[in-house]
Amino acid sequence: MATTSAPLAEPEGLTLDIEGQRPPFVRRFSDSVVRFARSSPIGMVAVGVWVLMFIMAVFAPILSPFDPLEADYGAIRAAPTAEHILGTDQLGRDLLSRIIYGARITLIVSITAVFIGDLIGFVWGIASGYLGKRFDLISQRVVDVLMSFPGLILALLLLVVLGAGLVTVIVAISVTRIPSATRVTRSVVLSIKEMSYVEAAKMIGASNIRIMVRHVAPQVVAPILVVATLHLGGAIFAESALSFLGMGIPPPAPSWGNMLGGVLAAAFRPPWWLVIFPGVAITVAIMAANLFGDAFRDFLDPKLRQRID
Amino acid sequence: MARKLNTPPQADNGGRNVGRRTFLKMMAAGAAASALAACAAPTGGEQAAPAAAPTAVPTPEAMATGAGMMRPGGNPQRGGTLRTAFGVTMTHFDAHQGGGTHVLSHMYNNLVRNNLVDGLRTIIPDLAESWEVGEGGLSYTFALREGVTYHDGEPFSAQDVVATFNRILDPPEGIVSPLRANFTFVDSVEEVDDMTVRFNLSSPRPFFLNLLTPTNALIYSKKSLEENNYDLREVIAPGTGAFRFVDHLPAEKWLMEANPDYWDPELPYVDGLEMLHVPAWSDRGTAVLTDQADMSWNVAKETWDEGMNRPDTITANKLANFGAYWVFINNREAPFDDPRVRKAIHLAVSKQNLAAAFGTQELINITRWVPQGDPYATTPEALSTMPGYRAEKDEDVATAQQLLADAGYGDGITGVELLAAAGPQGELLAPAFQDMLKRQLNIETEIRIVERALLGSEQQAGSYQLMVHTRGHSVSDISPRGNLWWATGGSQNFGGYSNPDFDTLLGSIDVELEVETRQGQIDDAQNLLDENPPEYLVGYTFHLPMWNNRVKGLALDERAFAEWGRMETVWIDQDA
Amino acid sequence: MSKYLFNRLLIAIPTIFGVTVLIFLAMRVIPGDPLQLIVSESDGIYVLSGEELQALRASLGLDRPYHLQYLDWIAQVISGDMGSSFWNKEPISGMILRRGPISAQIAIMAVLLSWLIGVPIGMLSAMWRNTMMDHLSRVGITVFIAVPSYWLGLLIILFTVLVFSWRPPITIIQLWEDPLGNLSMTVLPAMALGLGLSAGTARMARSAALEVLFEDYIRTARSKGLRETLVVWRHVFKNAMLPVVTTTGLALGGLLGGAVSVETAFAVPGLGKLLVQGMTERDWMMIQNLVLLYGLIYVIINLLVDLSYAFLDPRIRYE
Repeated sequence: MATTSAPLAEPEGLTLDIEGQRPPFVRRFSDSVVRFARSSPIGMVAVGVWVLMFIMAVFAPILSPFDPLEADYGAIRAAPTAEHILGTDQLGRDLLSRIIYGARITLIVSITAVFIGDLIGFVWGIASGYLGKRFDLISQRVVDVLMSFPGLILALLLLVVLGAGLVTVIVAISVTRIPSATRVTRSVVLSIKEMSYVEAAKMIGASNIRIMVRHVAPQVVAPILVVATLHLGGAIFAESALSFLGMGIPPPAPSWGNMLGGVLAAAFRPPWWLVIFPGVAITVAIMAANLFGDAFRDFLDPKLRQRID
Repeated sequence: MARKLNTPPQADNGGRNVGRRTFLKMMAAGAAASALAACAAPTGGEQAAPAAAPTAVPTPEAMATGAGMMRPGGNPQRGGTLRTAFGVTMTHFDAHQGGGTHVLSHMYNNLVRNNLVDGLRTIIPDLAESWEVGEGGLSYTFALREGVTYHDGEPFSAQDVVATFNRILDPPEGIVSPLRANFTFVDSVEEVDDMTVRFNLSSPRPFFLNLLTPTNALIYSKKSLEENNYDLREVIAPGTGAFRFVDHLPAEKWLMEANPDYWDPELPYVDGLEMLHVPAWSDRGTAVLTDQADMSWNVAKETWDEGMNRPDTITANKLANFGAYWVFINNREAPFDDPRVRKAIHLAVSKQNLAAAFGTQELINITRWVPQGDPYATTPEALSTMPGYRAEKDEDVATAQQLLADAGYGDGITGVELLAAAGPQGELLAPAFQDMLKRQLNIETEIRIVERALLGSEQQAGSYQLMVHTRGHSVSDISPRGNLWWATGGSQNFGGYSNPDFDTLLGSIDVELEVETRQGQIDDAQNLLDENPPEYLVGYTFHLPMWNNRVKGLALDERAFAEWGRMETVWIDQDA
Repeated sequence: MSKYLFNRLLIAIPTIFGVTVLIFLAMRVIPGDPLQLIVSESDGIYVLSGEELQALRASLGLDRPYHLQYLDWIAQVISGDMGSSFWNKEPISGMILRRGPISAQIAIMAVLLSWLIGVPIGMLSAMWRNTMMDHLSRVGITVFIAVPSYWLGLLIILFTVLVFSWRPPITIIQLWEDPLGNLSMTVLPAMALGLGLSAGTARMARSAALEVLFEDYIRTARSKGLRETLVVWRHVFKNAMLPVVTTTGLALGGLLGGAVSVETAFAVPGLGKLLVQGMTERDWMMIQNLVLLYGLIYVIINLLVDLSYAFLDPRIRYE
């Protein structure tokens, strides 16, 4: 981007003018929440489920009846009783306590992975779409490569290299979120790149970085948020599947996925409580994430909602 | 064990044995029972089988016929194919370089083998018809069986034995020889004549014959060794065994057929073997339960329990074996360089609890440093009151806490890494070990899970503090593995253990022929290891064979220990 | 059209190149040396000496510079030779040929199942919008989209084991060898995968059908007095199927990934289980080639999906 003219005075003033172009979403966030609650009761229920999960995660030490790591060698794989409401696992650990603590891993992994992955996709997509030319071309080929693997397989490949662990699982899952976030961001950027206010900023000689940060990025916030909420369910699934396969969260940390791993392998008659309860937790969490994502998308893009519903 | 040893020696083959007096004493002591085979070796038409299979009364035809293989009793029927379920993949086909002998061994013979008739408690002839021990136990001369041919028609002779063992003792470049470590004291193997072979030893070893019995100590022909440049990894070399190779569908199955020219004209009874590859532990038992296979050498505990509930169709058993679970301790760095800390762990962590934690997977056989199945092992009764091994833990834990306090760690230890393999070891054993270290000794550990294949390299690099891992051996005697694992500078002493008292004692144990003396020395050695433990022994495992009731002739209900090997005596009872 | 086809294929070339480089590099930084353990598998530990290890590496060509190793690998793959597994010596191409059909069969059956269940439900739900049927099916769709396929698999096994004491066969049975045995191995995994997929299909079919139902020509058709069902079958079905078919192509990617965990849950001897096994055993030749295979299949599916879009909707052209 060759800038021939010297930067003009008072670019801030200009920015203020452009402020008016920003979508109402950024300006009136709290109003939006209220409107969201009115527009989508199901979405609010989903939010409620997630709030419950947060409470479970934060207050796990208070809520859980036992230490999730404490083994009881006298009560190995005991069926549900009054003491252990959901039964115990292969080491006599209380299943309910482990599920409560498991919410921590589910939340930490899914939210962090989606945040990191989509943030990278967001920045990359803006740069790729706005700068265009060779950078865009190369970026898109790299994204093509990342998109050439089914997500779970790419995550598995990364985990073989990085080794199992909380941080590596977050890294692996976030990498699998990058391509779609980049693509969505880029396509939005391409459509607003030619808009008058971006052109105007260019005309007055604002730097590329400045235009991307102040003028382009705000336009992409809403779509990337939709992508992120829709990614949450996928991230929860990915964590649980990787841990189920023994490549994700290593034991003894209670993760809903690793609690399901190995349950059938050892058992000719599998203890049903060890199969059912962790799976229900995973399903509910994914369902809540999906419902919230759908409601949030419809809320931001009512046209789409009208069309589908 | 005792059952066998109460029987008097059967065949006295005329004092051919120079070292006989020694061996008779050993026998009387009830130890090293296998050595008595040196006297019991059948020659000519002599009926040599000791009446040692107490449950099955041997019928005349089932006993040794002429020079034939001794085999368990019953009225064998001919025909049928035995289907086994097990992991039968291997990286290559060279048994001496680590090829899977639970598959390969059916096609070959050893010089001598463990006797199925008394449940592997004695050693009987295989390709060697008889043997003599030289003065001071310094030489072993084997008279070889006449008229044996390889599957390619090549006749068997002393040259094959020499070529086989020379490759083991002195492998050419590019050949790895895991067996070599067992035979460090063998000076030479020489061909006395076409049908006689002599092993010359630099110092005596009371367990020498036992070293020839493992399924991987099988005999290759000189011809195949030479034709393949002494590397049999890529070829399935012809053997002398009861079964011939038919087909190998990798990762699926092996097919073998009966060898019509086998040197024992009676054997084998079945027409062939179909060894199904069943990689998943639990699926092996499931395969037997659902009649997709006739037997499996070792099944998951849960399926074994299920099999025990179906006596009408299924029989299951538990056999001592020489594979164990350990928590290896790196002795080189604080705090584990202090023997008191290691002893505290040895005392405080309950083996019974670990066994319970692992109960869905395998049956843990709580033993000392010498496992059950070896004649020198401490009896389970004695173990049940011994500190560190007994179920009652309060006193041991108090001692352990005191030891830790003496070592300066009265408040506990933090930041210790506990390495374990992904899978049941990492999911069950490691968390249980962690839990007890924390609860009893306030030692806080962080579990790190790595893929099973990585544990070995971490161990060899010495880059660990604590590591849950398996380790086993094919010969039960303490001497070979003592030198590898616990002797100062031993080639597999990865934890850097060094105990001069133990080293000295081990030197005596290696060469002691007097059984009672040796028993005392081994007891002392075990005490030294309890006092100053190199690592934590979770326990040896029981192997859990399970088979359909129609499978006979393998003495699976009788064996002193598990041996995944030859099956020429198997027969299928069509009426069962 | 042919220009578009050409362009689209041209772009696939650097993608595939990138895929191979990524896999190759990943396998070279993988921690741990599987060679060290080759001998230790069956009869206890044996430690390779430095020279022995060196000799082994040389015999496998692992001492050559990276770029040559990369070219070796590509040349091998192109010639159809994928090397062999470290642990069992089996040629990997042979393993793929024997296990691939099982995995492919499960995937195809899952897709067919998703159409059989998903399309009718989606269409009925659209036609009877806001009825009980619609509400129920939408709840079902929401639930089944969220249920992880491998957990559904575990539930199915739990059910068959506890109720019928039945477990799927453990050895490879091809459809052409023993159809019944083969189906008893593949139907349940296909169900576990297919039910989640049908939810997605139903959702897509429903919205596509709704869109069509309000188009003018449907109204015209109705006003002309054609019977309702005929209208639906002639117009709605045809139009609803198009997006379903193309989105199924996209869903196949998720299906390939999901199949890995479902095959593990059922212990089905397919490619996915092989991949997981290879990963836990550090059988990197196997990982390298299987991941490449998955990548190539996915690239090809994406290519076909793009082409079908372009074919069905002439407005879409690349760039």
